[in-house]
Amino acid sequence: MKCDKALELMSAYCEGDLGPALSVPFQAHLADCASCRSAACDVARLHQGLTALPLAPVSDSLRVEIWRRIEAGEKPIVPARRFAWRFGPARLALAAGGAVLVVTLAGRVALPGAFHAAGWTNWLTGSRATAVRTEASTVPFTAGAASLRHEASGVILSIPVTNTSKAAVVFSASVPQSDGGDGPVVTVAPGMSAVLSVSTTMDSTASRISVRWKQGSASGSTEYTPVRSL
Amino acid sequence: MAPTADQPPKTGSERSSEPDDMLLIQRTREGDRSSFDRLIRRHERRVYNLAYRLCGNPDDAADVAADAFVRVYNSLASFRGDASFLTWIYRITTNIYLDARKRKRARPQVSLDELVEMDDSAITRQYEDHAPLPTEVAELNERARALQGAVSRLPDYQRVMVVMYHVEGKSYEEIAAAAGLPIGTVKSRLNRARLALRELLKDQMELF
Repeated sequence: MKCDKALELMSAYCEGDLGPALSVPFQAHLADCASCRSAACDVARLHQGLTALPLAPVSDSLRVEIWRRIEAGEKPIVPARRFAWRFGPARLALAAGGAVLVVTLAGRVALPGAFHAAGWTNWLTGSRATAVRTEASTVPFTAGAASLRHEASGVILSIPVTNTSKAAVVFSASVPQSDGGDGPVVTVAPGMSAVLSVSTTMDSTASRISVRWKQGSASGSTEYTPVRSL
Repeated sequence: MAPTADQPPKTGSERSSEPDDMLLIQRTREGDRSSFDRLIRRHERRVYNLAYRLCGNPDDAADVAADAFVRVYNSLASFRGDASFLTWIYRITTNIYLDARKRKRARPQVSLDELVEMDDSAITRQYEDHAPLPTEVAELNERARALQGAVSRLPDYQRVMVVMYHVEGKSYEEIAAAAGLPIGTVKSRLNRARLALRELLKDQMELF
């Protein structure tokens, strides 16, 4: 066993979660490697330290502040309706792996039923464009809220777009400043919708998805902050 | 008007005779605000501590915790009780923290150990500490402070994992279900987080 593999298994070892097939070579490696021995010791101590972190005291002023906000009718930071902790069974049919995963064409007005079942309406109301860089005077599409989810292959960002113009629009999506690739070029007919998706290995809840579009000589791009799930 | 009851939280046998969370929620829905005050008293310390481990400083933690309770109060009608009240408010607290992080991203985080620049000198940033500080407790506090400072420097996705596991006490399976991640991914992220903490604390490991 090499050090990289041993480090991968460090927590499992400290928690006694290594099966015999891995435990034997792991311990053999520790016997030979002072660096990994030290790491195992440190991780075990950190594990204990984290679990034993004492509860900090709470000031009485917290409760006063809670009631003050309630009585002031302050809106909470989180919108009243937002995504569930995880997407429901009617989640978008996003496939894992690959740069851009799915492009779903939908009807002119109605979105697919699965979208409604997954809270699509709330998605739309929660749309947030974080930066706009558009060269064209008019934008020939509307976008719903971007979403983000984690898959084994990495982070997947998606955004629905609808061509609101009378000519086809060519779209592509990407993740700014990421190590993921650009999405495929997708042509959306007038009045049609598509879901643009892109995956990235950048593991952050703050990823943004950039939508680039082109229609004739006009073009532009917009970045959106996704509604995220953990 | 806020309820004025200020009895200390009850424990042990006293607690066993107290109404459970669902009953207090039901009473709150019916307009009994003192029931919600009891819910606050029952859970504020855990919620605040979750927020504190996530935020890394008491001011932001109090802000996040207060928002979490406001959010809960305004959403009680939709609480079905599928998960426990504490699980629900933990989830809301984490969401609020992550949203707050997004809004404050442009503003740099202040480390607990960071120096405050003064006109003529630099002094260590001072924070109010309500805990007693006998010698043996001081060492524990120093360890906790070092750990908290390191946790605060983890990336969000690692910090949330660490806090869910070590502060909320959730199992790998529960975290995987909540985050929509495979268990193996949760385990590997936590392992990487612990190795990252070790690196951040390499000069302070004698505390542990």
